[in-house]
Amino acid sequence: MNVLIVEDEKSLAKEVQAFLKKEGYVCDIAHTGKEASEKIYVNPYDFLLLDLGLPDYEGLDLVKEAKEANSEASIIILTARGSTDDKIKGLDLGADDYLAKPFSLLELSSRMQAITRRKHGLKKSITDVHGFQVDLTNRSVAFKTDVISLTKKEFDILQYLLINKNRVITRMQLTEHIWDNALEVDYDSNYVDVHIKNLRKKLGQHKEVDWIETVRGIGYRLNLL
Amino acid sequence: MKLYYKITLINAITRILIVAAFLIFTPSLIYKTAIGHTDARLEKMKAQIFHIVDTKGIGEFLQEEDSTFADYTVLKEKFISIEKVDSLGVDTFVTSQRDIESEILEFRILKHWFTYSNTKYLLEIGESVQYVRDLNSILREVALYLLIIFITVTVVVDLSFMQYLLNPLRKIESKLLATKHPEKFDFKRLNTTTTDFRYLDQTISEMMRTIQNAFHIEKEFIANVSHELLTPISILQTRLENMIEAGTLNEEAEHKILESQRTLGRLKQIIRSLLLISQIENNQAVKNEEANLRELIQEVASEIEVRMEEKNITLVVNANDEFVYKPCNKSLLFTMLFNLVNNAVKYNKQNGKITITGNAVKDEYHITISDTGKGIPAENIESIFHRFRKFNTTEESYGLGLAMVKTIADFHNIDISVDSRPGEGSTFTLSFKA
Repeated sequence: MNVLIVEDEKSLAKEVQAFLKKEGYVCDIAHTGKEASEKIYVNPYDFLLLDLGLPDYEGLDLVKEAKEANSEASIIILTARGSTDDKIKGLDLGADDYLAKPFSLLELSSRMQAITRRKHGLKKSITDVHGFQVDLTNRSVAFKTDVISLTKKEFDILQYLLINKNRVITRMQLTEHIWDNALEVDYDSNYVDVHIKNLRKKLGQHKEVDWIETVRGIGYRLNLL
Repeated sequence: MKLYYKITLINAITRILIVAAFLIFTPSLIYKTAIGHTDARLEKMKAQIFHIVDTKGIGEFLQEEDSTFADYTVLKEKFISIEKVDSLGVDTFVTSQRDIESEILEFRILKHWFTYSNTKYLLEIGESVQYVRDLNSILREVALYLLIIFITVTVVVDLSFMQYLLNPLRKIESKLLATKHPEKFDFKRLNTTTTDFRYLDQTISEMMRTIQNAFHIEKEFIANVSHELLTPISILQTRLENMIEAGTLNEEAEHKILESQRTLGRLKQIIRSLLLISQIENNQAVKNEEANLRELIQEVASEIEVRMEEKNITLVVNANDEFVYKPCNKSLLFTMLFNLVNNAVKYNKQNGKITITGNAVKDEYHITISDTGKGIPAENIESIFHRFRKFNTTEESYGLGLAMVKTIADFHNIDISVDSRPGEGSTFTLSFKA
């Protein structure tokens, strides 16, 4: 998949590019709005990661242009402005998602996966996790024939751990994910611990869940080969 | 007391004093003047009488040698009398009552002693001054009425004139009263010809502008700093994530990096919170939604319920009245309630209790959040809503939760109050006005 990263902060663009490359994306970088505008018209992209705060360009105009020239591309707005007004405008113009800076790369990639899943449908929407059938599209979990009822947050956590399997996910990353980046809420990471505890309890009634590993003092990891 | 009442009152008092003095002194003044004139007339009459005596002799008045002459005018306002006396005296004016044909009247009398053909005589010329007395009493009555009218009229005129004159001052006053926050000050120029008021208005406006600027600079500073900090944090965060992704680190290094990420996350949260507060304060937050407060309470409660197990806390939600609050920013209201309930969990004791109530009170809606936590000492209550003020340093919090609560409440014009007893718990009350 082709990604255009539009970001005037060079080192940030570089880090995003490095990460996405490892994830299997082909990345292009534009440091200015003008450059981005040209690239959009020339190359077909699957993803546009768009920083709104460009010095030479009104970021929202770029969304409009991209919708014209590269209508297939999914657009994720990345911004430090963080005003809800921008968010609404951006989504109204046809952006697919919105991520406030500073964002976690894992969060970014999970959003990109979600968009892909939504747009194209995943080849295999049901994943087998140690005997549990996790359906990411219909957001359900079953063990053999028993459907396990999870709360929204419990499923979000399971899904996030699954998308980022075999990686340590910090409680902070999980918290940000389940609160939909609403960092304004005076949360603390205890919420995540309680949700994980409940998740383990619910799944544990069917089969031992030693595959959700607690990384002491840091976070959690879902081990899956 | 209002200034213009005071001025009018002082004016009225001065006038009453002047009028009282006038009423007191005028009669005697009139009397004295009248007597003076009478005396002059009496002297003139004396001269006329002596002119008659000189040309025609005293016989004109006295027929017989030892008889007495007395003559009244028809209306008894004047009389002349000449009588023989044994000794002479000095000319005098006297005022005395005379009984004339059984009518007692007050007369001004000129007494003049003279010798004519070796005989001593006393000439008395009298003129009634009764009319002066009568005049005075009439005058006093008329004056009293006139003066009452005069005072009433002037007080009314004063009041309306003062009101007109001091109107600009009242406008300044109401302008200041309407300004709950310097941000809300109305800079419209005051329309007045009175230079003092114009100067006052200008000075206040200038001061307000200075204050507004200071506020503005402070807010802008926070917004800019926060914003500028977010980019480097972004770079750091992604870089740290990439280091872990590379998979080349040993376990210890990976652990350190994960911990650094957590620290970075804290930094991120503080900056985001500050940014949000400054956005709300700069009126950049939208406020065009409506929220059913009962439902909102339920939402917050269900969101936070998972935390109750941790300390085995009992949560009681008692919100039955429906109340739709608008215009508002729903997610901000959620954040506000969430932070309050979250604090109630955080600072609660083991096996404690949290009670959330929602009641419609007249046209207001009151939400209370009570906990059985350690409470807030009285001396700290004032400052709990201040930024970065934290009294308990062991909890994972950055001292911005309540500052944000306050900011959101102010943004929505919600009254917030705290009642707390150390050792027993705290109750936060939010009053939403319809």
